[in-house]
Formats: sequence, C-alpha cells, structure tokens
Amino acid sequence: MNLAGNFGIALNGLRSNKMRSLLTILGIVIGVAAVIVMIAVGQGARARITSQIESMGSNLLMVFPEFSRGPVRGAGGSANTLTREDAEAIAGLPYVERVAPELSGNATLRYEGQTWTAQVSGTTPDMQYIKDWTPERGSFFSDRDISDNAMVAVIGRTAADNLFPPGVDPVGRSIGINRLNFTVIGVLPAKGASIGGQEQDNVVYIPISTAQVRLFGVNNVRLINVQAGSAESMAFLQDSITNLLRERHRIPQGGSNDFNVRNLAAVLATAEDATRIMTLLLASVAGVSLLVGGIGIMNIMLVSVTERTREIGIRMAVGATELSILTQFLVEAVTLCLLGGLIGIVIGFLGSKLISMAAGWPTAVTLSSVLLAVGFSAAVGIFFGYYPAKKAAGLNPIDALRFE
Amino acid sequence: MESLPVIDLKEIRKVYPMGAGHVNALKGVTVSVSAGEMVAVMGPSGSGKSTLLNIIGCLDRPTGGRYILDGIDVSEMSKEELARVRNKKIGFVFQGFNLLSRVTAAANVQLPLLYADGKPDKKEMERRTVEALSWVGLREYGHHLPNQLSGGQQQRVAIARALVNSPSIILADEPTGALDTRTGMEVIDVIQRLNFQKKITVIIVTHEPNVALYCRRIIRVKDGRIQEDRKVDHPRVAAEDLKEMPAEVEE
Ligand SMILES: Nc1ncnc2c1ncn2[C@@H]1O[C@H](COP(=O)(O)OP(=O)(O)O)[C@@H](O)[C@H]1O
Ligand SMILES: [Mg+2]
Repeated sequence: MNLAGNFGIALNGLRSNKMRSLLTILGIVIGVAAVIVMIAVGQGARARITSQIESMGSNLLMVFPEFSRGPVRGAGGSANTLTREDAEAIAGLPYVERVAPELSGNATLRYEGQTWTAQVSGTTPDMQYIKDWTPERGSFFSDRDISDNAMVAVIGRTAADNLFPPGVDPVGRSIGINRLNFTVIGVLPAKGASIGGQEQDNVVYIPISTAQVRLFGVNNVRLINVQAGSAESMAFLQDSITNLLRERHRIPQGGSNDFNVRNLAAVLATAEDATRIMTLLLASVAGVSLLVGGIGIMNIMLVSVTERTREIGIRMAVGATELSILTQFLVEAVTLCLLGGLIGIVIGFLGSKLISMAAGWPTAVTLSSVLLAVGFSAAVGIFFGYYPAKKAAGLNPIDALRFE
Repeated sequence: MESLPVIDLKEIRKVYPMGAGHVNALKGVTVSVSAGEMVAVMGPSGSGKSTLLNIIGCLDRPTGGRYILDGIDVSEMSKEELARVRNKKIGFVFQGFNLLSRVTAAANVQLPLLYADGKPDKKEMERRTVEALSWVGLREYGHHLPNQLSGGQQQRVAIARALVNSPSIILADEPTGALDTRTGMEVIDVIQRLNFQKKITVIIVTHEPNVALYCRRIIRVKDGRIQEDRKVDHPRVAAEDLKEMPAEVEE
C-alpha cells in the first residue's frame, strides 16, 4: 500500500461525504483567512510607514521654534525664535549635508478665475534634495532666485490639478498667490499622503526670501530641515545644533531651549515597532482561531471514526493494515486542512482587498503569510488528525465489523 | 480432489471476557479442510460458528491451540501479517453484505486490490473488477450505489469483492440469512460455481438445513465443540434447482 494509494482512498472518502467535509473545514477556512487578512493589514501598515519615512528624507532632523520657559517669558502668539541666519549657521556645522528652512502658511491660488487653497511654503533649493523630490516638469528655483526675492513658484501635483484645467502645462504660467503674481517654473511629481494621512501634494514652494518679505511679512522661519551625512552622526548633530542655537540665542546656563531638535525618523521607527507588535498580536489572535478550527477537525474526525467503525472493519476484513487505516485518516485530515487552507487563502486575499478598498488602508498579502497559513493548516491536520487516526487504526477488525 | 489440508485447526479455544467472568466460545476444536472442499458449518445460535469462521479467516485470534493455514502457522502472527493473509488468501461474505454504502459497486469490489501487496495498476484493477462483477452476473451494475441494488444483488457484489483478489478460501457467514429463498439460491449458485469452476475452498456457516445440502461436507457445532462431521454423498446443484424454481422479476 503506497502513499498515493492511501491518498486516493482518502480523497474518495472525502468526496463521498461532501457536506460534512465542508463543515469540517469551516474552522480552518476562517482561521487561515483571518491569518492572511491580519498579516496583510499589519504588513500594509508597516510598508506604508516605511515608505513615509523614506518620503520625508533620510537622516533628517527638524528644528522647531518653541516658547522659552526661562525666567523671562516671551509675549503671546506663535514662537518666532528661528531665523534664516540660524539655518545658515547650522549649515556650517560638521556632518551637515543640507539645510532647508521653511516658512509656510495657507494661501489662495488663482489662475484665470479658478481659485484653490494650498499650503505655500518658502524654502531653499536644498529642499528638493532632502525630500528627494525634484520637479517632473520645469525646475526648482535657484539660490539666485532667493537673493533676488524672485516671484517664482514650484507647484505640487494636487495644487496643479485643481488650479489648471486639464491639458494645460503649468510651467511658464502666471498664477496669483494672495494677490501677488508668481510664475510657475516647475511641477512636482505626486508623493502621496504623509504619515497622518496628510496630503503632501497640495503644496507650492517659493523662495524663502520671497515668502518672508513679500508674502507673509515676517523675518523668522517656521522650521529648519537638516539632513545629516550619515545615520550615525544624527545624535551628535542633534547635540551640536542644540549647542549652536543656545549660543546664538544667548540662552543662559539652566535656561530652557526656545527651539526643539527632533529626530522624526526615530519617532517613526518606534511607530514601526508598534505596528510590528500589533501585527504579531493580530496574527496570534488569528492563530488561536486556527487552533480552534483544528480542534473542530479533531472533534469531527473522532465522530467520523465512530460513525465509520463499520467501514474500518470492512476495510480491515479485506486486508487493510493498521498503517493503511492510520494513513487514510491522517491523509483525510491533512487534505481537509489543506483544502480549508486554500479556500482560506482565497477568502483572505479577497478580504484584504476589501479592507484596502473600504478603509483606504494599504494591505499586502505576502508569500510568507501564505506559506505560513498553508504550513500551519497542514500541521493542524497532522496534529489533530493523528489521535482519531490512531484510534481508528487500533480497532480490532472483528469488533469494528460487529459495531452497530 | 481432496488433497493436502489448507486449513488445519488443532485444539482451538476461544475465551471472551464477559463482565466479571468469561465465555468459552470454542472449547477445543480440531478439524482440517482440504483444498477444494465445500463445507457447511451448522449449529444452534451461540454455539460458536461465527467465532470459528472468524478465526479461520484471520479476523480474530484463538486464545489457545494451533492454526496452520496453507502450511503456515498463523496463530502467532502479528496483526500486520494477518491483514496480509486476509488480503491475499481469504474472501469474506457476511450476512449483512457489509458494503461501503457511499461508493459504487465497482469501488466496493475493487477495495481488496487497493490494499494488495504490489498493487496492480489502475487498468489491471479495473479489468479484474469488471471480471469479478461479470462472474456474479452484475457486469452492468458497476456504477450503482449499494442502496440502488436489491439484497441479492448486494450479496453478489460482496461475493465479487471476495473473489477479486483470487483468494484460495471463501468464508461465508450466513450469506442467505437476509435473503428470500430464490435470491438465496442464486447466491448459493454463485458460491457453488466458485467452488466447482475456480476450485476455491468454501466454508459456509448456515442454520438452514436446505443450504447445507449443497455442500459436500457438514460440520455440526454445539456449545463450542464439534458434534458431528460428515460427508454428503450427493450434494445438490444450485444451478439445476434454480431452473425448477418459478422465475421472479429482479428490480
Ligand atoms: N466479542 C464477544 N464478546 C463476548 N462474547 C462473545 C463475543 N463474540 C461471541 N461471543 C459469545 O461467544 C459465543 C459464540 O458466539 P458466536 O460464535 O457468534 O455464535 P454463533 O455464530 O454460532 O451464533 C456466544 O455465547 C456469544 O455470546
Ligand atoms: Mg453467528
């Protein structure tokens, strides 16, 4: 009696009792589908966070202004403690690759009667390299434009799509930003949503000088992006920026900082860890349901052994050995589980797609999660099929035949 | 015709535990059956006929005594070896047919081949299945499920299953017990032809004296012992008697 033969016998057994076979595998189907969906959702979340970290720019430190908590409190309003000069000073520090200050606010864009609100951000040319975001059409503005306070703008995908009619190339067009006239010199490619689901493409970049002098009428900046030369130098650089700014802002010993140097990538890495743990948690919940499915299989296989005692007796009477009965029942259990696994994979795959569509949350069904599910269901089949199979094989032929 | 014994039982005893005590189902049975014999085993209910047949068929093991089958001592064989012996040498026919209800007649007939050593290929299995079904006159019924067949037809499927692996012995435990006279006679006819034409050794357990008349030898069992063992001088031939019987329409 070879394995293929036993397999055939087992398949015939399953085919001749379709309804029960189907009910038996329901638990496995649900378990595997749950594993696939859970892992897909978790993996999707991680993939998204990873891509967002990359889209922010690598090795990025962000310097934000803050109210000083020293003995002398600043007046009310927003903190305006950072300047372009601070940014230039930071650029002189060792390990600094690029520096891009930002001054941004919402403004109304206008093109031939069409209006649209977008975030207008004054910055320097380094911004395009820090964010790895160079225009797909036209070009970014230059250092020369900054010294000239030039009225030029680089426009993001969403802003461009909403402001210009389809088929119109924005490059070279004149647009109004809060009643000032700018010339569009570049269009940025779509970047997608940011971590918080924030739209990143509804943006217009203009020279920082123009933003300060002409648009917003202030001389501070809202934020300084600093790109370090390497990941290892981030901590050191964080310290040297802090020291530099304390000195420049004449903060006495013991006085609190009027700025904040943040390593956002580190924050996101923590977020990524959290998602990984969440994925693991979800997967183990799904694993438990798979286990319950397995116990269901065992239960039904046990019932089936009792129900089929006579069949086992008949098979033994015509020459089935203990081993062939054992393999038959084991192969039945494993086949059931694998079948359940396959159906579960299909349902899990569709379920993941559905969740992506409904929640707008990306999901990723990976080969490893499919292999995990298949392997697990086969293991469940062997583990929970063994006891009933052993019980069936251990029957005495004559007792089995007499069984009513 | 009668040559060396295929079945040789010496002082076979069988004790079943029963509650606190036990039942002595066989109390020392010594008998031998030669190749090609057709033997009826008779006796009152509970006398040990089935127990004896099951031991001969290697479905059960004796508590004591020695059993030589085809020159080999099977009383000490392992369960594995007994299963092989059942598969190769023995065909069973039961009172209640014992067919697998969820598969076709052909699949039932094929069953012993699936467990055969050096399993024949699919084509060969199908050929032998059709051959066995033809032998019992059910060539056209292979694709029927057991519950689509009459009792007599089901029993003939069971006989086809018993003969498909070319056994040397066929053991039938009250094969006509669940059948009316005519279909019972048809079953006896098939069994008799197996004995006449294929020279298969046959042992039939029956409580119907009429059935025993078709055998060459009658062994009477009473209370776990052999009470009488005699030859039948002119056994009846079922095929001839069938011609005399009024024909019935089969379903
Ligand atoms: N599995 C068993 N357990 C206990 N007693 C049994 C068992 N099988 C048979 N017996 C007993 O052994 C005796 C012989 O039974 P059996 O061989 O079936 O008789 P027969 O077939 O002649 O009617 C009976 O008394 C019966 O009750
Ligand atoms: Mg009996």
